Amino acid sequence: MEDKVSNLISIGEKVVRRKDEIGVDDIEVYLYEADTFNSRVITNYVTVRSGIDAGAGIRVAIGKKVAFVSVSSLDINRIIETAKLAAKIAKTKEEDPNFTHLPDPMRGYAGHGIFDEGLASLGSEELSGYVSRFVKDTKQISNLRKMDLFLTRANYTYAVVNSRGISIGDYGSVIFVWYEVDLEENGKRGKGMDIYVARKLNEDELFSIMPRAVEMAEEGLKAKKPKEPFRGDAIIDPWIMSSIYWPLAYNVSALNVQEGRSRFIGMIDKQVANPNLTVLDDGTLPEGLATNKSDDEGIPMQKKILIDRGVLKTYLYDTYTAYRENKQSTGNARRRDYKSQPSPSTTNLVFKSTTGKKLEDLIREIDRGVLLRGEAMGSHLINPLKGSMAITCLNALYIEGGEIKHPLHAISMSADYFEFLKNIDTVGSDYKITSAGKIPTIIARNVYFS
Amino acid sequence: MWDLLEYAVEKALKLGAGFVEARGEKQVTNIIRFSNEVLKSIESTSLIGIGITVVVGKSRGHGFTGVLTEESVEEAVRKAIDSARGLSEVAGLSAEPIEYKPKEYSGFIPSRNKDPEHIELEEKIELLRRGVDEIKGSEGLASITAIYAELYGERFFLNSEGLRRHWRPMRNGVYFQAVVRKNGEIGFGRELFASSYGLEIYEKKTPEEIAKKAYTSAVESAEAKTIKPGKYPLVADPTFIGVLAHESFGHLTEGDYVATKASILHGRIGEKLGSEYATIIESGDPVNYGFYIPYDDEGVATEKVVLLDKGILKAYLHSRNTAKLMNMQPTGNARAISFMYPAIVRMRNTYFGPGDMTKEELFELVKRGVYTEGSTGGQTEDTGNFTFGANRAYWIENGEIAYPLKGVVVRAHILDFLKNIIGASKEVIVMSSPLGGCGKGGQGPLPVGDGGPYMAIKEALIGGGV
Repeated sequence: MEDKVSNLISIGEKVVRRKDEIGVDDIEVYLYEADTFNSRVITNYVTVRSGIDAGAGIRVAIGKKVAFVSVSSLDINRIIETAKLAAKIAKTKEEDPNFTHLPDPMRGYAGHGIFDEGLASLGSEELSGYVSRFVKDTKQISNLRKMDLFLTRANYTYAVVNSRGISIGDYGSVIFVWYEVDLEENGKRGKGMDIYVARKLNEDELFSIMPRAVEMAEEGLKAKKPKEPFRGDAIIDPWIMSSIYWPLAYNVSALNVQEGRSRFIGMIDKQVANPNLTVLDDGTLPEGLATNKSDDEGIPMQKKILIDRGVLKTYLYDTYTAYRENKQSTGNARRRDYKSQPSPSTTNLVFKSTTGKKLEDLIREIDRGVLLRGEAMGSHLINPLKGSMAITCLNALYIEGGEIKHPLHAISMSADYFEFLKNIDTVGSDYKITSAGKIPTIIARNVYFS
Repeated sequence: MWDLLEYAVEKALKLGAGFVEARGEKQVTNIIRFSNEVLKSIESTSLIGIGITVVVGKSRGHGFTGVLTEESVEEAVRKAIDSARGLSEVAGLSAEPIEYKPKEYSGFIPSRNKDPEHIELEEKIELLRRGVDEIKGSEGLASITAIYAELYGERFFLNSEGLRRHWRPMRNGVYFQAVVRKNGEIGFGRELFASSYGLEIYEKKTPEEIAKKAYTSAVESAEAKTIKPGKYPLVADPTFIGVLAHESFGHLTEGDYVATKASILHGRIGEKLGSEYATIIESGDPVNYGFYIPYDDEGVATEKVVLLDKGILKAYLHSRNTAKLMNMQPTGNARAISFMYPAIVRMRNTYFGPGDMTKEELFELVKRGVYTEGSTGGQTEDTGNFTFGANRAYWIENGEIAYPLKGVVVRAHILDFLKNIIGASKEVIVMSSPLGGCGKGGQGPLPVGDGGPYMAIKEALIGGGV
């Protein structure tokens, strides 16, 4: 993998050296390559694909005119040709008064995230073997209605090279498995799911998602409808929390703040969440899925306190937004892929546990409420500015008097997102690594269930 | 491109594949963004590559490469074959295609007089700027985001039966988003338009009008009132109802879900599932502003499929493989988001069919209830329960719009919803979206269209409004 990084850096450097021929003041090349295997199975219907997804994203600056282009190729000639298109586009643009310059190098690159040679070297035969085991074991379930399995393993390599002296790259390997079962018994249906995602493969943990999902589905067969809407407390598991953290990420983006699109404008050093809530953004967390030596514009990944006991401490910056305020980037430039230009977003969010409490202890603290777990529908419908939030959970459990009473049919939790942040007063100690970061189970008080 | 596709097919057959499809793709995507009055970015992406799908025994594998050399294509063929072989043991359903007698596409083709492929970026920037200029400086306006997005290119298809297709996908559209601050309240509004027409369409659908709608929506949103969650009569506009047609009904008719009995619509052809106003159509024909798709990614000419005819379930959507599994005809619904993915059963343009009323008559019919316009997206369970957010919502009193509502979410079971439809307008609008599309099996956003008439629903559960 080191060789691949050097190769990408060398392609980047060759392109950057030709900046005068391309006709720009500054140029940045982001190169990405992922060797991907992925398989999807619906019960007994299998699709599988395998190949290399590779390309380059090129950002150029002529004075304060900036343009971005990308190409699905690592061929130097095609990258140069595309860079020339970028130069042409930049010339057609007006100046961006808020642009200072492309990133300057910054010292102190972070270490690698965890890299598992064993995971990276799995071939399609072994990976297909994992899929087979899930399918075969699932076939044994007598009341199975449907199984949905999605398995992806990606070995990625990236490099960022620019004409101001940045030249860095890194690599990693990630496996992601989504497993869902749907059971049917006496006309009733129950659905359960679990996810395995990691930078280091542990087969026992990988296959443990199956019995957990099945147990959840079996509980679903016994689900009842809530008698009436009520106000109560919510225990929210790491997967649900990972699907509703995004409005927080949206509002702490320095770009959204600077452009007038954030609720947190002018809120630095002010209370935005419960005093029991401390959240870090840590791009150096070894097991974190977002961890790399640098962010997506070659600035060292960093660890910073985002919310300290409910008080907002910083916005998240890339170089564009940082230079605009005469600051340093916080290493939060992120891209969806090589086809998109960087903008500030979270890396790995880490919620600090306020108690050593595990899920069982948290349940005992609830007088009347619901444990939300598994999958949340409607999480992307949260309005990040107005704060209206209504999510529906398919695998909830009803809690009364500190005890789980029974599973619930699809139940909705509604709250104002900003009130919700202030009502998260307990952060548990059982974490999961998810695409959001290192996420625990939490308690949010006084939400509305219907 | 054709040389390499021929090479791929030949190679795969030699290596033991029983059936082979090779797809070549060239696609350019351009996205122009304004933030407030500043032209913030122009992103251009160029995608070229070849994907090979093989059937080996009972199973199917897909390999791909972005490097257009015989050596890379051969490697991709090998990956396709290896991955198919790896899973042959667990593939319970055969991956073979049904026989297909080639036809030509015979639907509507939108005009492309001003083909975005041949128009300079400056003209597109100016188009977007017209919208920004229209609303800049408006009262309370805190932020504008404006986007112009387009995709165009070529798709090449060749299979081991010798079927050859070539077509040029194209879509373009604009999106405006406005944030307003008024009396301490924040208002948020958005409006979009997209189609497969050339840029001449913006003489009719002007960016000024679209931007203005985003701004007025933001103002209304700042003044919007809360609605108590509960059951209310509903009038839905074509863009809201279209999302329902696609998300909560269309997916349930997809052949892979039906053949595996995962869909609740399995085995229910001929059953009455909705009222006489519930007709749902699926076509590669864009109707008006939908996405034009003459051929799917298996080279099958797209058919117009009436899924639900006056409430009665008539058909499912198929690839050649799912058609074979269910002993039905292929409908031209096998699509892939790019050469990197295998073609799976996907929708194209999904819409409710017309009724016999006017929009005003529908409001009269409902008298008191909720009116929803556009959607902020939603989700459907495979049980048929769905949740959708409305982009805009209003309270209807005495058959007229009374005031805006905030955060309205509609929740129902699709089969209850279909039975509760009590009226539909004659006018049908089908529309694509500038950037969005459908997501399935890790492939998204795939360009689609959806829509329908204005529709009245006896009652639906309205949530949200916090």
